[in-house]
This record gives sequence, structure tokens and C-alpha cells, in this order.
Amino acid sequence: MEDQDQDHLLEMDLQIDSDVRQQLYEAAKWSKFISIVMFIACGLVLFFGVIGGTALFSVFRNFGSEFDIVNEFGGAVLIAIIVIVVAVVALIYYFLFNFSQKIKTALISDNTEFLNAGLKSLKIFFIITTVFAILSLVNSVAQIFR
Amino acid sequence: MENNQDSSIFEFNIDDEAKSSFSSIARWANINAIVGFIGIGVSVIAFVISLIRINQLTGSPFAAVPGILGLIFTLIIGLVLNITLINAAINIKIAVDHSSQGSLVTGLTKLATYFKIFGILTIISLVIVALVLLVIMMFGSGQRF
Repeated sequence: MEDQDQDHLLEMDLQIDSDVRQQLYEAAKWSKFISIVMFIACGLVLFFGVIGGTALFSVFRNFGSEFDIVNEFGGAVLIAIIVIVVAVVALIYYFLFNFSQKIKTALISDNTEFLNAGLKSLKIFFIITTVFAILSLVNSVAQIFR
Repeated sequence: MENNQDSSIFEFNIDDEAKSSFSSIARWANINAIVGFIGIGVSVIAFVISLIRINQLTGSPFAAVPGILGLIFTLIIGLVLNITLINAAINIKIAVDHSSQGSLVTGLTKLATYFKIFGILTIISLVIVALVLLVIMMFGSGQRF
């Protein structure tokens, strides 16, 4: 009898019940907040980075020939690095934002396609952050042995 | 109408595609948390090495006190975040493998908690950045006059 009940439970598929809904909604709410803050931070870094990079470039240029290496490396490269880093961070948090938006839509409209799209975005978010975490770890280990 | 709404809540099934996504999320979240734990270990080793170097340079055992406080703070946050994430990953994996609704709820609760902690840390970071900017602005205006 117990086995039959167990089998019956195993046959039951996973469902989006009220508890799952509540937790998905909570995760979506916080991930939306995090991604929006990150977008604003990216905007600020881009704004102040470009202004700061340009200022730094002109300061080193005024110092003359001793800072030729800095001049060659240049503020332009610095700005390019800032833009690339900001673009990558914004892309990562775009996936988190996408997750929150799609999950909210899925929960409102009971739409499986939106649920799948949202979960895919979260999956990509975790893949990218994990890859960067591994790169960061390798860098930290390299720093120790330097 | 009410009946329709009620039934739609409970008939919203998780299909194979969603299960596959949940499974991938669990796998990558698990790797992320493990990398996080290793990162904490590496941070501790790096800190101990720095501590020895600082001690050799300054000769004072108290020179590294602010660093130790920072390390303890980082350790606590790192451990709490990664333990929450690994719990979420384990429960979501169990839910997908054994079609366990209870594990899915637990896993998603942990995932929501993970994002909540992340969000609260983001708010704290914002406050710290705002305070630093305020201090810089006050210092700047103080120097001008």
C-alpha cells in the first residue's frame, strides 16, 4: 500500500503551486532590484570612467616625454577597457533582469513559455558568473604564487 | 470564474524544458558555490601570507587588525551566501531527479534567500559608496574654503 502511494507520488509531476509561485516571485523581485542597481552602477562607472580617463590622459600628456609609455597606452585604451568591462557586467545583469521580467510575466499569465525563457536566462546568468568566478579564482591563486 | 482561477494556479505544470533548465541552474549554482568556497580558502591563505609580510615589515602585531576584521566580515558573508546557494542547488536537483515538490519549494526558497542577501548587500554597498562620496565632497569643499 505504501509502495503504491510512493509510486503515485513519484508519478506526480512538478507543479507551480502557490508556494513555488511565492518563492519565484520573491526571487524575481530581488533579482530585478539587483539588476537595476547594477545597471545604474554601470552607467555611473561609464560616465565617471570616461570623464576620469580623459582627464587622466590629459594630465599625463601635460607631464611630457617621461610619461610617453602612459601616453602610448593612453586614456583611449583606458576608456576602451572601462567600456568593455561595463558592457560585460551590464550583459550579465541583463540576463538576471530578463529572468525577473519573464518569471513575473509567467506567474501572472500562467505561461509556460515565459517560465522556460526566464529559467534559461537565470541559467545563462549562473553560467557566466561561474566562468568569471573561476577566472577570478585562477587569478587569485596566480597572485599568491607570484 | 473563481474556480477557473484556482484551478489555473494548481494546473500550471513544469514541463521537460523547464525541468532541464532547473537541472542546469542547479548544476551551475553548485559549481558557483564550490568555486566560492575555494575562493574563501584562497582569500584566507592570501591574507595569512600578507599578514606575515606586514608583520616582517612593521614588527607590530596590531598593524593587521583592520584587515582581520575585514577578512572575518568577508568570510561570514561569503560562507552565508555560498551555503545558501549550494542548498538551493542541492534541493532543486533533488526536486528534478525525484519529482519532489517539497524539495522544489525548499530549493526556490533558498534561491530567493540568496537573491535577498545579495540585494541587502547591494543596498549596504550603495550606502557605503554614498557615504564615501559625501565624505569626499565635504573634504573637497572644506579644502576650498
